[in-house]
Amino acid sequence: MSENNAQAQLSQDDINNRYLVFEINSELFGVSLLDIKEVIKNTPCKPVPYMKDYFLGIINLRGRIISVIDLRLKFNKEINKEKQGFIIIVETEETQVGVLVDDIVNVQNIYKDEIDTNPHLELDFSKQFFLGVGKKGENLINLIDLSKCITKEDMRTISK
Amino acid sequence: MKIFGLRSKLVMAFFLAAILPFSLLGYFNFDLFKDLFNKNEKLNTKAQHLSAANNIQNILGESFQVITKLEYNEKIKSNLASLSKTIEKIDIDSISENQLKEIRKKLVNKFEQSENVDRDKLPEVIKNLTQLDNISSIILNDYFLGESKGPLKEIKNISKNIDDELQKIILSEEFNVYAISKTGRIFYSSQKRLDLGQKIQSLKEITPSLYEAFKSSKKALPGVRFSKWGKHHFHEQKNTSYLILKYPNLPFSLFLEVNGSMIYDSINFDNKQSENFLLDSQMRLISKSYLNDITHSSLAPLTSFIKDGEQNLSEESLVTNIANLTVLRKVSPIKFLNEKLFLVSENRYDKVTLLIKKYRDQIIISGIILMVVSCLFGFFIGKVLSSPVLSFVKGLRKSTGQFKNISGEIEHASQKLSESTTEQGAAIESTVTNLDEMTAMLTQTEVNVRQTIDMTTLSREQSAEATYALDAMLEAMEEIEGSNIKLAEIENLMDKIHEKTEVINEIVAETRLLSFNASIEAARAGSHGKGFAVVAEEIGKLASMSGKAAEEITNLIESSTGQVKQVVSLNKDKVSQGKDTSKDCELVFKHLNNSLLNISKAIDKINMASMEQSTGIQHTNKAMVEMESITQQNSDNAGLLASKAGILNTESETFNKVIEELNLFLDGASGGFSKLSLFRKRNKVEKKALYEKVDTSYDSESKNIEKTVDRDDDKWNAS
Repeated sequence: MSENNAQAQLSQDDINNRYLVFEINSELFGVSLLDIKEVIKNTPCKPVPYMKDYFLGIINLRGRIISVIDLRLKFNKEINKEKQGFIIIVETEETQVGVLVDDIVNVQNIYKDEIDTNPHLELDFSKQFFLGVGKKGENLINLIDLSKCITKEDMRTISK
Repeated sequence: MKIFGLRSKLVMAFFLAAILPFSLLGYFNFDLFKDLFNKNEKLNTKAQHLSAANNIQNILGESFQVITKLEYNEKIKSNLASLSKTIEKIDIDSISENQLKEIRKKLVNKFEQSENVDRDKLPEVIKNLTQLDNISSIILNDYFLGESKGPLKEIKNISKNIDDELQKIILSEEFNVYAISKTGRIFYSSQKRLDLGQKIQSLKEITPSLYEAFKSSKKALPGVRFSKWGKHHFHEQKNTSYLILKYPNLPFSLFLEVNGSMIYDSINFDNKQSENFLLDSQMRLISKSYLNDITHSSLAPLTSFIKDGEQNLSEESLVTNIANLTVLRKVSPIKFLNEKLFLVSENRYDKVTLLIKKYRDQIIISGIILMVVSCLFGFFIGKVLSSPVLSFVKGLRKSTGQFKNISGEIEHASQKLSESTTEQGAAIESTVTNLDEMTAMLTQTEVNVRQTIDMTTLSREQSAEATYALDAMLEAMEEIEGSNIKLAEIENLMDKIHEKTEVINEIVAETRLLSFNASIEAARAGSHGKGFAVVAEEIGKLASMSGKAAEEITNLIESSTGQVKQVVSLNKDKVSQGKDTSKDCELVFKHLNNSLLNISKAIDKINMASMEQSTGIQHTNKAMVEMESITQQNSDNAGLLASKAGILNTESETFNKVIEELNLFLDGASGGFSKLSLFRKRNKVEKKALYEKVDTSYDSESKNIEKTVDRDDDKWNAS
């Protein structure tokens, strides 16, 4: 019943507060739904020579060539080969980029009061794309901006 | 003659038998004694002849020594040549008296013809030679012409045997040869040890070389006196050298005179034994083969010298050869023979006369002993022969008494027999009844056998049913196997379901993705996509739920397939076990069937056997009936036997009298050999009386017997 009520109370803010929660090496990450273009199953990539390790290659998505980055390698996480993996298509200012993750968990509402924007953390990645930590029950979700997560260097390599 | 018993007759016969051979023996022995005496006398004369021959030998030796001492000149040379010619013709075995005489004459002539001979010594020589002629002719006739008989022949044989044995002994011995001068200096010694074959050779070879050595030593060495081996011997023999044959294994040495005539002697006269042995060992030197050897070897150069003149023969060799020949003359078989025979004959004459006397006495004594022994033997044989017969008669006398008693007993026994036959009849009846009972038993056993046959057939049917049941069980087992296959099919189906659930899972994943994308699109749509967002969320939830359900299904299927597999494997094992056990059961039942068949066959045999038994019993029944009739006949016969026993009784008494008569014959009237003739008359009287008595009693008893027999016959006829 409570869920039905929540659904009924969805507003403009609600839409902004909706996040796609995914899993890398059993850690939960959240991305704003508005940043995401599409979610697809992991498909085999065609590798491109002279690229960095985390740059897996390119795929053909309905006629468009899209570069794919392994976020697990980017974040220096171990790769769980059992998981088939999903590719999240992110729309940046210039182009679209595919990001490979272990699993997609669900779509959740995370409100602003549930987000700690400035926790005292020592992170192993840049703070530019770290938005904060969402607290949902016992689960903690790292909220990140994927478009910022992909650096300018990355973009350059891709654009070239 | 009835007065003398069997023993006294035998003694007389043996006495006569002993006298006859004794008298014959005495008669023949008389001639034998005569013969023996004559022979002994002859032997004695022969021995005397031989001793004479011994004398000849000595004389001959001396005469030849004389000859050799004469100086050699041309004439002597020629004379010696002719002498050697004659000697060459002589064969020692076949020398005859005439030949000897011829030699003698020639020798005498030659000596008379020679001029430079020492005339003082010639008459002695001639005298000696004539003596030789007379005596040696007797012996040579006897010995060399092979006419010798009796003791001479024996001696000849003995000498031959000794010769052979000595040759054997000395052939096996080795010896060293030493040559010693008259002064006792050793001027030759052979370091070699020579055997006899070599010795004969070496003697031939050594003689000339010895001569050389002797000559050289005579000049160069004045000589040391030879003392070790008996100087006295050398003292007597002058102008001679010696060849010593020293045997390493014997206690003496042989000495051979080399220059001049040859003699032989021992130096070591340590004991008599060695002396005697030496005497025997001379035999070796005079053995025939040796003599022939030496003669021919010595004669060959001489004859060649005579034929060819003085060309090749030196004076020295001529001398040695002549020396050898003289040795031959001296060492003749006659000398040895003389010595042997003389010894024998001297002892023998006395011995033989003594023996003859002894023999005569012995014959007389043995004759007396023979007579006594034969008498005793006769007595002994008589006793041995008569005593068993007498004892036999005694035994018969006893047994006739017993005979009577026994015939009485037979009568009694025959009565008892008739009683027992009736008893037997009763017994037979009882056995018949027993046999009836037995037949009844047999019929009962037949019934039992039939029942058992039925039982076995029943059990066979049941076992057949059991086999049918087993077959059914096997079929059921096979059906279970079939159901196992079906279970395997179910397993396959479950696998397929598992595959399908995987498809469902994929679909679920796709729907989730769709829901995510939908929610993204809804977010992009802004306020317009609010409802759509809800729908998308719901779809996502449903997809996750269906995913969970699919997972549960897969889990369930996996567990169930595992269980099914277990069940199938278990079934398989059980079924195979069941099949095996059922097959074993089948086998057991087959065996059971076979054994049941065998049992039924055996029972059939038993049935047959019992049938045969019953028929057998019927036969015995018949036999029993026949036996009954026979026992009745037996009782009748027993009566008859009793009557006959009576007759036997009377007959035994007559037998007793006959035995008495036999006793009289064996032991004489007196009943013994030792009793005197005084008692004989009385005995005669008694005997007569006894005879009369016996006659009368015998007659009366025989009449009685006849009467009883007649009566019995009448009874038989009446019955």
